[in-house]
Amino acid sequence: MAGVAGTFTACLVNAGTPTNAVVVAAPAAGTYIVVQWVHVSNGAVAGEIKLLDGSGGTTMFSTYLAINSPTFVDMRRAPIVLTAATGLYCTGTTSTTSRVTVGYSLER
Amino acid sequence: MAGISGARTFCGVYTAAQTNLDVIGVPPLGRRIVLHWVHIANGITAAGDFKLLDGPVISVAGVTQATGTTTSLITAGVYVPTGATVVVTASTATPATNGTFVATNVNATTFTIPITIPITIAGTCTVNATGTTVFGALLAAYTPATFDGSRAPIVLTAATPLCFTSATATTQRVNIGYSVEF
Repeated sequence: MAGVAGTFTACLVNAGTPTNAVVVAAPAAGTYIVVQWVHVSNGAVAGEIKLLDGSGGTTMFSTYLAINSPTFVDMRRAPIVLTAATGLYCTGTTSTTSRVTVGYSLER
Repeated sequence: MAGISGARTFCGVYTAAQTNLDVIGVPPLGRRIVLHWVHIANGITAAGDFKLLDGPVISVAGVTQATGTTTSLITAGVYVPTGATVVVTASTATPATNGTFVATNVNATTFTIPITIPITIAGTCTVNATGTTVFGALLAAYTPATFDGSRAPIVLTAATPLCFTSATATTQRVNIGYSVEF
């Protein structure tokens, strides 16, 4: 195995201000997304980037980043657990490019 | 895996400076909060100082009570757990009142300590002898700080809340991964 069984990654490439952009699509009924790590980077304009429990849902993670700046958070010991059958979404205030990469698992 | 047993996350969205904000409440008796990761981000306009505290820091001034009564130390927004140990360091007292008391009557904004002698408190008072800064970050605008406690988590005092104090009037975010353990 090249990693831990049942874990996945996803990368969202934002070309402008993200509003309820899908990072990880909603899993099947009874299954929920568990976010193990997050890497967020920002482009040419400083701003806020948030990860949401569903489109327009509760803010589960939020950060502010300067121009052309990244941040990484290892959450494996206390991961973010989303609501069952709910996708991970991204909303931001920055009007420029940004990247959101997550490592996650799907659990029941 | 969903992390260690009982692990939870918290995301606080604030738009102004905070003082002794109770971001994770008092755990059940005998249990303590353990921080596995922290991510604090500073927002627009101003640099700032951000601190996570092992319980609130309470300042009191000019409280005078007679023998045999109780005194109320009022600090808005601060929750003091019943049974918390309160250490009073008085700058003036008749006679000396420095010592350790136990809170006996608690609500969201007030707690009382038994007074057996005339007392004037004009110093500082901490709960559970804590209020210690367990994580601090000085951050420029649009700058985050991340703590990875996977090898050495931050362990708070038993029955003590996690509090947040900041010294900037701008937006700020506090993200925490934690568990409550014996």
